[in-house]
Amino acid sequence: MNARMASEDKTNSTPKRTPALLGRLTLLAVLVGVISTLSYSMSMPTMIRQGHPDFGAWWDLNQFYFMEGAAMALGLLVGIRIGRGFVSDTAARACGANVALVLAIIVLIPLMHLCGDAARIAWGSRVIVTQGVTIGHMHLAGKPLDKVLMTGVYFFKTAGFAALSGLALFAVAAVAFIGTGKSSEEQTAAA
Amino acid sequence: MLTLRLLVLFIHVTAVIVALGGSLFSTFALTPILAEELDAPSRLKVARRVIRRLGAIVLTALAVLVFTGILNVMFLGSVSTVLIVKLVLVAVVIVLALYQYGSLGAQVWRLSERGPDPAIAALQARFRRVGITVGTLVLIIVYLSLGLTRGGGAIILAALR
Repeated sequence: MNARMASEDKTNSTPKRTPALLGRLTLLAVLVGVISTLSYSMSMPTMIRQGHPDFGAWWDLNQFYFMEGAAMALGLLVGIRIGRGFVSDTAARACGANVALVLAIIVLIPLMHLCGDAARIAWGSRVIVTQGVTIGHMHLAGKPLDKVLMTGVYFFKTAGFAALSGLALFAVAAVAFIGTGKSSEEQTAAA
Repeated sequence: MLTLRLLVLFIHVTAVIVALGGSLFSTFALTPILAEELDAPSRLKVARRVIRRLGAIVLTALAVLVFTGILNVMFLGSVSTVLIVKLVLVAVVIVLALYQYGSLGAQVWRLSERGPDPAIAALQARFRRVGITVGTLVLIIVYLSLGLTRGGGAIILAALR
């Protein structure tokens, strides 16, 4: 069945093209995510503070939230895009993605804390590692590569939970529009 | 008695019942009875409405499952291999349900607008197959959930090996 779905995707590649907005937002989330994750794990604010004390202090306070927000946004966008790929109805795909995007913006902050908390649960453990402990642990122990790896794992765990949420948001949004538009097959035939 | 954890768990279990029960009822009760009792045009008329309404119910229930599921992970306070397998299966189920209702269901809905069509039967058969797959996967997820909360993840993994 997967092969059949994949072949359908290939034949309908033109109508299933990712909209520019979703693509740009994904790129932005990746960019912010990479910068903030590297900055957080490599203690960049200390270096920034030498040249720009005020900005360095502000970045030190907020870089974690930028990283968490970027992971959340990336996950939600990936989830919406994956869900979009499995719907052939044009209205459900286009309007569903737009509505899901609006819903994602609304729930971004509350979900960011929820998914962040879930991602901080250690493997096989019953203890949630708090942000403070994570910062302390990363700054006190480990080589630079270890710190990047640990922060990267946290980033991807948050993004993973967010991707599931994105899929769910798209499912809720798309369901209202199912049956109201043409299918990809009909669009291809018309073209 | 009434705690947030219990309330979230109640909504989670209710969402499973709604998603799984709806799919099973449609696949094993409604569709065979429609085929036996109604003529082709009337059957199609009922089936296309059922697909749309059931799609809304099942996909919304799956979305509720995801959000209450993340909250349950918080309450559980533990991440294990079983949980990761379960989360991956949940993603697969949502994708399959989207394909079932957003692609196959929408095609049946559109084709049946003009009355009976020879292409509809094949689409409906595929729709039913995907529905059975989704139902089976949800049952596996339920089993894994029971293992997580009642049996311990290691027991299930040992049984799988």
